[in-house]
Amino acid sequence: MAELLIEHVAKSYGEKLVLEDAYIKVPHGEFVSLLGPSGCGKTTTLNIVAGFVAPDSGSIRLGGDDITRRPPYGRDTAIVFQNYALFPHMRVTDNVAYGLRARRVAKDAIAKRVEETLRIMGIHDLADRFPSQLSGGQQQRVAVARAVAVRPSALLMDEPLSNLDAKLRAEIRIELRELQHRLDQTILFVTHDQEEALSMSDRIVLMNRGRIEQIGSPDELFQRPKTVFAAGFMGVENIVDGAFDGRTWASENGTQTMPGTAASAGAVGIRPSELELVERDPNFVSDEYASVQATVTGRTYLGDNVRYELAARGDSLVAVVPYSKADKDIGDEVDARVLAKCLIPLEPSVAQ
Amino acid sequence: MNKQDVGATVERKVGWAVITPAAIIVLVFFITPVLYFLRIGFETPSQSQISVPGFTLNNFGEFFQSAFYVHTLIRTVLIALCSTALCLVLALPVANLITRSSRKVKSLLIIATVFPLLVGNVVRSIGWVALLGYDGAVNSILIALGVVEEPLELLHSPVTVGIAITSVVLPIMVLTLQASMEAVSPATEQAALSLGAPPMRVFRQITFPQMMPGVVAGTSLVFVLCMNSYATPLLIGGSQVPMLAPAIYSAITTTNNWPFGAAMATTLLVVCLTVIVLYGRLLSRIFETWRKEPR
Amino acid sequence: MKLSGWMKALGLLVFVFMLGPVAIIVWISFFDQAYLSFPAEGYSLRWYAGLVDQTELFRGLLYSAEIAVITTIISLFLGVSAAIALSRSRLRGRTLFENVFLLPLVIPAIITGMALYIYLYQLSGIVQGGLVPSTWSLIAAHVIITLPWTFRLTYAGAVSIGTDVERASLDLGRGSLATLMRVTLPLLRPSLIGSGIFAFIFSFGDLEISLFLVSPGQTTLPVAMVQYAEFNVDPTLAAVATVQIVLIGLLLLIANKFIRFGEAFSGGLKQ
Repeated sequence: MAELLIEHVAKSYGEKLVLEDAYIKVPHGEFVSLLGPSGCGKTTTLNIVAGFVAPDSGSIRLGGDDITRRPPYGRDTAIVFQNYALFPHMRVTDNVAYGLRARRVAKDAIAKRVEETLRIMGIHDLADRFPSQLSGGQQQRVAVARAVAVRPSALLMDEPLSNLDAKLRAEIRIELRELQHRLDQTILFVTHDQEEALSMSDRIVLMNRGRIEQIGSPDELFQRPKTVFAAGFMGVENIVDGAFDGRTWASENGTQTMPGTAASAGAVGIRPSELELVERDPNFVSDEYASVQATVTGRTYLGDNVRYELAARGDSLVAVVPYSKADKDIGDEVDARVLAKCLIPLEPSVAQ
Repeated sequence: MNKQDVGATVERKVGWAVITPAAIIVLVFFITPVLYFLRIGFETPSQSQISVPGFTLNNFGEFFQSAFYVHTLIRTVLIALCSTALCLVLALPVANLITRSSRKVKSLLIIATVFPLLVGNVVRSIGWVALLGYDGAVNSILIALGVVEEPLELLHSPVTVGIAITSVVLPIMVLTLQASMEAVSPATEQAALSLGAPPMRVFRQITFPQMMPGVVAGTSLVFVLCMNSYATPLLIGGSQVPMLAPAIYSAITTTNNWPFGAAMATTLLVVCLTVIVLYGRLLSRIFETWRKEPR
Repeated sequence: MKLSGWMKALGLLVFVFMLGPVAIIVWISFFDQAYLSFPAEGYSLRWYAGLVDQTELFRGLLYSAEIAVITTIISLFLGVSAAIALSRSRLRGRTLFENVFLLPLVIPAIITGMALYIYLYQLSGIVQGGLVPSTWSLIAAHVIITLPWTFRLTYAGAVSIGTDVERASLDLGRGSLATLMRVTLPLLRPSLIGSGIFAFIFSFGDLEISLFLVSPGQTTLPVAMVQYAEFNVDPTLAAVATVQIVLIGLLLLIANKFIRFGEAFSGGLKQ
């Protein structure tokens, strides 16, 4: 059982702190994504695990072995790059066989494993082609096949789907997930795409500016982001600062809401899709809803939905409403309402 | 260089007009004279004029029947081949060093590479004489250390000439190799490393094959330059190591035999061309099938 | 990819191999003794001081510089024209032109020199004038051998700049000539300066072509040096050579401000 353990790894380039104290455990057979905006340190972490970058402190353990000082070719890892990096002068079979040959596997075992891997990836009919004769999606599958052929203890993937179009991406996501289950492969996956991470991962490590903001299952991360950054990254566009005293929520510029359900927090997040716009009713009182008086300042047609921008006494809010209910216009004075239990309490971001 | 990427901002007519001066100069002062000169190789020598018009292959016959000249030709080709091979072997680590260096160091190293090239063959050859001559540095050190009692005759040997020629053309090989090494995708090297191949293997199987166009271009150019060497064999080999270019010069200046000299020049060019074309074809066949396959 | 220690050492050793002969010459030029021997009996600058008296060598130095300057101007003009024409208009036979302008690099300079000599000599008979040997035929020859450099370096630069900026200028109503003067040439300045410096250097250092085309009494420095060296190698020769070396070094450092050497030679080759 090979568990990948990234233990308190840190890295700086001169003055610049690129990674601060990362602790990540990837149990055997799990799909873990490193998710975050560019510059957050996810690729650096991957490169440290792969062996291309030496950490300033901390260690990497794979299956119990400390591999921190080992060169890339001495680790039981294999990496898939964003631009595939296929060997242009070798046919698909030789590309896929490369790692096995480098590891001195016996010839007939190599042939068998290559054949098997090509079939699993559905590219068996491309075996004799050169990379220049393949489409983007095909190249990507070969890149994955090449890495998977050596059955690494940890498969590392650096934004491998970013160069594909949306349709292919969706297809390959499913294939990758199936492949991973079939081979019981441990995967560390880097991406900046929230949807990708949510659809593929067992767990997500959300990173920002060298620090880990939150680790959790896709469900946890999406429904219950813990910090302001996490919420923002997960699509919670409305983040209202203020103080919470257990019963009422008072935002910093005085937007009053009804009681919420969380304990003390420095900010509250509201998903645009959970904000309802109704006729202004000064007499509205409810324990279940939080309500705010707002004016519509913008309206954008999105197809299935309509996006509203609102001004509510100093705060700007965003609401996304299904087209059938989008009867408000710019200038209208409305009440913006949200179910109190949908309010998300947020701590300040880990990275400042 | 993707030719489709460069659009036309200058009209074709204007383009032709602009390129004409350069084209004319090259035609009048280079192509025509060279062709004229080579043509003389097919004419008969004469005492009173440059040549007697006509067509004859006697000059070539004279060349190939002369043991001295045939040996000179063979010696030139052998030295050129060995120097080119040595040059390739020595240039690879340097090109590697330059490619993997940081930007500032890289600029510095490239200047250090270009510098001897620009200083010129003459100065560098004189430098070799100062190093290896009778009174040169190497002999002085050997005598001082008691290794030998009399100075060694280090110059005037084909090996020394070959080594000096190598050092003279080395910068060009380094620059060509460096250029093609830069073009190799580092991600392919990293992928190979991560799959378990150690650096030497990665170089041999991944980096070098991708460099092939540059290697072919570099070795071809260097071979031609070695074949054409004048100053270096003259100063270092002297009359003991005759090579083609100095021989052509001598033939013309001492005996005023222009047709013979021209015939030798043609031979030199033909040999170079033949070797290059065959070599290019051979290597293309071995290494580049993967580039030529249609999509 | 990290470099192993011995790889670095090997690389540096080869650099010593390339630069050694040059270093030795500079070192000798400061030796006190009049003949070549090691070790130095003392160091002095007297050979430099005495250079002015070495009329052949010194005059060669001046003459070479003169020729180089004129050559550079002409070569730049021609090379840049060709580079702009080929990179900015769709001429048929573009590849042919590209190769033709690079030909002088592979034809032995010795042959080019002899060919030019004999050709102009015969032409002199026809036009009843002494075309060779003469300064202008020497310059013509130097232009030919430097053209590959002014062409290649400017061409690489012109291609990498791309035509978008020029198209914008033309779109905005500026004529071709104005676009050329105000947009293209300023953008090409680094290439121009770099090419100019290379042209100067190659003209200055040329031996083989100059051999045939120098007039009696007016030789270039390399020719004078070879004639001197055929007799002996001594500190005087080393002093002159060092002057040339220092000159080249300075020009290179200047060129460094304008050309990014990391890309100068690989420009146009990247895939």
